[in-house]
Amino acid sequence: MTTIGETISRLRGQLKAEVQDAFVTDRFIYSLILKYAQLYMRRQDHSNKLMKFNSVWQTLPFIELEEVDLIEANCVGIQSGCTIKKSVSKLPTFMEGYWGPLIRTISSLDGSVEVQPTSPGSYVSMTKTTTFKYNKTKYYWFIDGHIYLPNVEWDAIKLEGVFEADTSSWTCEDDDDCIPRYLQTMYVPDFLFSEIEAQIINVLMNTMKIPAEDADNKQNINR
Amino acid sequence: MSVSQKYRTFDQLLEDVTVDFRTYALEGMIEPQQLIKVAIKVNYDLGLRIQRTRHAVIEVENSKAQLPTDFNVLNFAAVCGTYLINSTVPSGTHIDTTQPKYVPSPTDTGPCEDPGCTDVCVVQSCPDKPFMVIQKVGAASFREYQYTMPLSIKDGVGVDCECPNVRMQSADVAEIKDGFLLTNFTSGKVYMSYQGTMEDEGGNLIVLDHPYCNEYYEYAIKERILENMIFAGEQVVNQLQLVQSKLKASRNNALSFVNTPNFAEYKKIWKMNRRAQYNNYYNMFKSTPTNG
Repeated sequence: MTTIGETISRLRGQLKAEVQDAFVTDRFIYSLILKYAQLYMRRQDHSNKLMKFNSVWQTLPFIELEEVDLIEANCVGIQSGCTIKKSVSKLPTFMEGYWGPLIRTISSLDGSVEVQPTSPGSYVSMTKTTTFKYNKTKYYWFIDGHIYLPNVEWDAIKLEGVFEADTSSWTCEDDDDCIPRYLQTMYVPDFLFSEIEAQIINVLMNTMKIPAEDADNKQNINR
Repeated sequence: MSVSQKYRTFDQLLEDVTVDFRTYALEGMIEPQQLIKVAIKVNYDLGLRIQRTRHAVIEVENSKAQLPTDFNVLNFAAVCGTYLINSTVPSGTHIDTTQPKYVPSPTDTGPCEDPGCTDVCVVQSCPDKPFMVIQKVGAASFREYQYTMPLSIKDGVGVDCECPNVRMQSADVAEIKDGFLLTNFTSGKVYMSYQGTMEDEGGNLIVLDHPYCNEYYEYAIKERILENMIFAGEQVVNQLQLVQSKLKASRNNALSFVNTPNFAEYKKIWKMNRRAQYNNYYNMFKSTPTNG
């Protein structure tokens, strides 16, 4: 996996924009990379070809939970006796897939129990079915940057996802906090970069208005 | 009579399917709540023979007794008479230096060992002795109901069509209603043999665990997963067609297996047939009332 800095540098090289005269900032190039990465990762997710790429998934090993009431969890239809837990802090911004935020697994801290995605409305409907007593599966839903889990006793969970934002403060590794953003890994599959870079070059060619080489310059190899 | 004593939980069945459909599972296409009803339907399709036969002694108070939580269909029932309590006094460890040969007493009327008996069971100490109901009430003691009395039960929901109690004429009458046994006598104990629901002790849905039947369960679940994927806009029509053809074959295999009588049942049918033929050709006037 390449770092953010390497990706930006590679694009600058292709655009011949290594000098400051180009007026193209790293942030601008990075925002374009993210824009097209979102597009192509969404496409991959739709064709069910993203979940198997282990290298793109980042793990947040400890997400603390707290108990909240049903109204806060958008789940007032559930009958009493149900406890709902919510992530204490807002999670870092996810990359969006075809079905929503790119989350591969949410599980207990030891990974022994996996949790299934659902929505508050679907969960309420499920609890009203006669066969729900046989359903021992744990569920979660994602609203406004928070994870909600009904009927779990856990104090924390583990999550695997693809993030757009910096996750160094979530990794439980102190060394990660000191890594500058440009040295952090770009969690986008390598095979997508050719398409992403082609799109960005196409866009920037129009923006930068790079003049075409004239006949003299083309012939002079020492220019 | 049950065809097998091996069962597994719905979660174990789902894990099997998940292993096969790993990619779909990763994509979140397998929703357990949508598949529970499929397992229940297959259980129903395979019939009563896959259910476990259970025994219970329930206490009637104020002409009412609560049925066991896993009650599904009644096989037969009887009112229990008086009982003896047999207790074994706990003792320390004994070390036997000799290995004497076991010789049963000729007058031994104790219940025969039944390794399958967990709570309540019917045993016959010797072939010439009557059946008796044994109810375990602790680690070292059990109640021995020496005799039982007939109980007439009104036909209705929760009673097997072959239940002998429906045709029985008796002063004691009972009815199964809303999870209770309503009786015309005030108090007492009722022994019942019933087909339990497909649930284990923890309330988990269970399914039959047999190679023929496992295929049927798995393909039925796979079919529903693929159907739901089609409704979600996925292109899995070819996979669905393949699974449907396999499902048909596996259903036939499972039903053949479940509905094939075992050796004991064949023997019972043979005996009934012999008796019927004997009455037809050798003892044809036995049922005719004689005059004078």
